[in-house]
Amino acid sequence: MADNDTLIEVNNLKTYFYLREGKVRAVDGVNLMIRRGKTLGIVGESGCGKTVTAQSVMQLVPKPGKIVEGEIILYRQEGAAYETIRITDLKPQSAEMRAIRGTVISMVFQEPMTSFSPVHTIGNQISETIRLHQPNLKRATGEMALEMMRHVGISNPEQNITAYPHQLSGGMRQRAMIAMALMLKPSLLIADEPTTALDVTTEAQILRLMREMQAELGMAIMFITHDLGVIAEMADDVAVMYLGKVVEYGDVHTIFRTPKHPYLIALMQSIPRIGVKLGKRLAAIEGMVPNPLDVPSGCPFHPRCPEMIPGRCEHELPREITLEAGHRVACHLYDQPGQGGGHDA
Amino acid sequence: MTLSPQSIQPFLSEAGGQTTGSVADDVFLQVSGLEKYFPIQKGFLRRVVGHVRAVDSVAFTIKQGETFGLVGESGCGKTTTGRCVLRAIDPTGGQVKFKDKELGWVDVLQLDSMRLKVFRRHTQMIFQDPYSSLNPRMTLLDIIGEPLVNNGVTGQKRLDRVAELLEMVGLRPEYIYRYPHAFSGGQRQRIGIARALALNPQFVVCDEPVSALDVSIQAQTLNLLQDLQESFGLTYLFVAHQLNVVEHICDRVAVMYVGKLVEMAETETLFHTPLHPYTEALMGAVPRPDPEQRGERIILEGEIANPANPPSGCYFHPRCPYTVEQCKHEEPALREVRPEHYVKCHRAEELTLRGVTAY
Repeated sequence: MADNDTLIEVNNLKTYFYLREGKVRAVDGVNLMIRRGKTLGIVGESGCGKTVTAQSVMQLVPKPGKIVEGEIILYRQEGAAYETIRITDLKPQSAEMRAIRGTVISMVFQEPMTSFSPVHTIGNQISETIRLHQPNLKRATGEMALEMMRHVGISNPEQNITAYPHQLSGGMRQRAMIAMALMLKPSLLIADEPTTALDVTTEAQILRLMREMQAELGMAIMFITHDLGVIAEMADDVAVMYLGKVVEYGDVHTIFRTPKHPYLIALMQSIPRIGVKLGKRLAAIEGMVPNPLDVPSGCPFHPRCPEMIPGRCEHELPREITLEAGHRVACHLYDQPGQGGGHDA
Repeated sequence: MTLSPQSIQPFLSEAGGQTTGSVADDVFLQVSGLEKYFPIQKGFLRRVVGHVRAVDSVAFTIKQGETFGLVGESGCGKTTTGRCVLRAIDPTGGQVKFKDKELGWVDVLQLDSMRLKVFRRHTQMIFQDPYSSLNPRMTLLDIIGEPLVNNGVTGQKRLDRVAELLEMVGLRPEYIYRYPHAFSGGQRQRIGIARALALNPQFVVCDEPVSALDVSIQAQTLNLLQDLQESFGLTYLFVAHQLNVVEHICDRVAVMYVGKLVEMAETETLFHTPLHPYTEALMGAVPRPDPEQRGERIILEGEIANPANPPSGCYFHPRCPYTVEQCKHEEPALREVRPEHYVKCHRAEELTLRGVTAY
């Protein structure tokens, strides 16, 4: 099923939130694969479930959320052999899961100010992962933290190792966050909108740093963003999400050259592109992202879709169709009777 | 007090340049030498130990009916400039001349409270965050109707006007008694726009109006702003950090760096033939939605200078790839290097910089 290239496999993942107002299907039947050493970009608007997908992989779904169905499989490399770990079978608080977090999978968050402790120094927080996971290296932690800070380009590491998070700029804090995440050389780095809070020039620096670290450590990255420009810059594979579902999946060149799902096509047309004159008006997507408590029937995009097939899209949930190797789309337009094209189970 | 446009000609003090004849006629707002210094206080007695020069001798003009963009990184003073122009905060120095439809040419910074009230009727602001700029305890009628009440429009008239405004921004008039929590981010921004338009302003400062919105909602909001501009002949000062949005909506653009204008030109000129290295770097840093162009970008080293303790000479010199000795000691002036294209760089004539088409 999975070859040695696969690091993480997500099959039919469903993560629901049980609120007083009702059930929110934040992630609703997602299939994904993350390849070793490659970057999977997940793109979508707020509320599409991209962050919850990442939290599910880490088993860090906040209450009242719960993984209700599906499996997440980690193929962990042990020398030449591969160990198969079903993350969904592990308890979030179990020792195994804690060991996976930080050593195999680690995470970088959007807002580095709120994800650091304000009362501990940067150096202290960076070396904490080592103290927790590899106590035998305790003596060298200071040295290792310093080395890592130098590595990610924090200016004045000797001085900044004793600085508190508020004393650093946004870009430096994000570098410190990356240093912390990379301390134990994880196989997968989950980056949840890591550059959204940063200025463009700083964003370019951080993206370059992440690419360099990836090349050096050979880790895979799960890169979550709403910015198609950043996806084009970083990703090898792309998953486009809308209301808890992956609507299109493929390698980055295919996705940008031949987008298939009406949502993705509309999204690409609605963004003003730098250096490209689109004319006076933008081709906006009508309507708004629906309330997650009240997801439309059938295809969740149908009320906003310019290509909606009346009588079908509002009733029937589209299947995921494989158009060509590795390019999947969930849309009735490509799944019509009499039209060729391989079907995915 | 009605000033003729001619009497306030030499406004680009730093540029020292002459204004061309045609500019003065349709000029609508003239900002010259605008300064906003925030004091840095220290110790028990709150002694002033220095100043943050948030806005430092900024000069520009805005023409009738155009959209003037102000771009730059966070902390460059673009929002403060927008607020000073409307006197939402009082600048510490400079001049803002505004061609008010009732008062004629006025110096905004010298207005007494009576005239200020009139001025504020004709100038409005749209804010960045639609979640914090609407009072959660007020209905749409109260929010959008507040400027009307303050100016003596009440009762049925107010109700009708609010309903009309809601329709204008693409919301249903039935929503008039609802509270902001019932609306999504894009809808809330429409409410903010309706409030800004309640008194038929001439001039609207849009402070990052789409930055907080989802990608698919940004396009709708930009289209709405453009439609309203056309219908009501509005003039916009558009403050933003997203260069693609600025390129799309603005007629002319000024780039700010650490409180100063470094370049100003028509949008196309600025994006295709930038003359300041910072503009080049800023445009190069924007990630493009095209994987074929990956990695072909200039990456600026270092961080934005501290406005409380800026570098000597040209503020940009520590990060500039084209720095020469002169840049370290001598601050360049904002000069009109090409017609209507102002640059603050010693080497503007000799450098050939990459515009957006070069990628």
